[in-house]
Amino acid sequence: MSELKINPNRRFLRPEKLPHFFCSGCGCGQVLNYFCQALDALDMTPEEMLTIGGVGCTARIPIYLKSDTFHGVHGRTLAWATGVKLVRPELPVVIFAGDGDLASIGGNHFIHAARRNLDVTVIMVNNLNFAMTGGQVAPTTPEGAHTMTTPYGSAEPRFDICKLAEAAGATHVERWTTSRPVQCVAAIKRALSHKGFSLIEIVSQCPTHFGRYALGSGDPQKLVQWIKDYTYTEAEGTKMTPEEREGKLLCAQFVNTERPVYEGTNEVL
Amino acid sequence: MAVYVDASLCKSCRLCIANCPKNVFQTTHKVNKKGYNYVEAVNEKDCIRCKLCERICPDFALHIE
Repeated sequence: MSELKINPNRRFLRPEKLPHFFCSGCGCGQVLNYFCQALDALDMTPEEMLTIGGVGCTARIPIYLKSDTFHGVHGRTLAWATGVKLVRPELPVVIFAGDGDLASIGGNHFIHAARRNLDVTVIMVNNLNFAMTGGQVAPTTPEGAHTMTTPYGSAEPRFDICKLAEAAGATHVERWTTSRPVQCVAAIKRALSHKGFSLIEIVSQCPTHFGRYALGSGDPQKLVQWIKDYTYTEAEGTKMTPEEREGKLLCAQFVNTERPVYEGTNEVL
Repeated sequence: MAVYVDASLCKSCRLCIANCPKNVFQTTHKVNKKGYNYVEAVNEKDCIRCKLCERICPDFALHIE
């Protein structure tokens, strides 16, 4: 038996924290893997950046990275990032936030950070429900989905966070899924090298809550397949009728522009 | 060339088994420290080094060389 060789991308992770806290087959672990692959491809190290997480499953991702980390109040990740960027404008800031963190409780911080064009990278893992608190309905839950708090199906329309970011003035917006690893890594690479507010939304599986309540299965591969059917790329969209595209999410790069970034003012009041 | 599985990190999500084009992996009855039946590379000679499993593993348990 040869000696065990470990994944070289684990050099970015804190060894004492592994194995991580995510459930078996969780998309957050995959996003952490994609982020490490992007760091490896860009020759960056987590030590030179600040990662911020709020509350939720996704917000645990920074804990495993060997970076400076903030982890605390629900939804206030971008408020902290604004403060950090005003004091240390040269420090790269990466925010990991779930759909509960960004779309619901931190929605106001989100639109104003996008409006100001704050120079941060936001990686939003959209697992379509509030997973850490037990699978309640979230703003991003698809219409008609059964969750813990909507046992007869959600009656609310779904929130499209990429459209919101685009309308609020974000300069780099993309949506991908955990089932598309190569595109995810490429999108994170583009986001890390982008100057300005960049949002990468990654639609992810939640086998423990969304899978069991809404889809009737906790098998990660079935959920990945469901996510593949729930989303479509631009190339797939050209072959689909408008009725087939109804209710599904487009995976693409929506915005990639340049605009002056927010750096505050040097004048002392 | 070798397929390395870190049994202490595997959580038996079976994404590698479902995505491997050559059916290299299989779950075992062996149990790791956290109580999961970890996967093992049973058909290691069939591996074509596409590294899809290493890319998608949520637990950083796999390494292909």
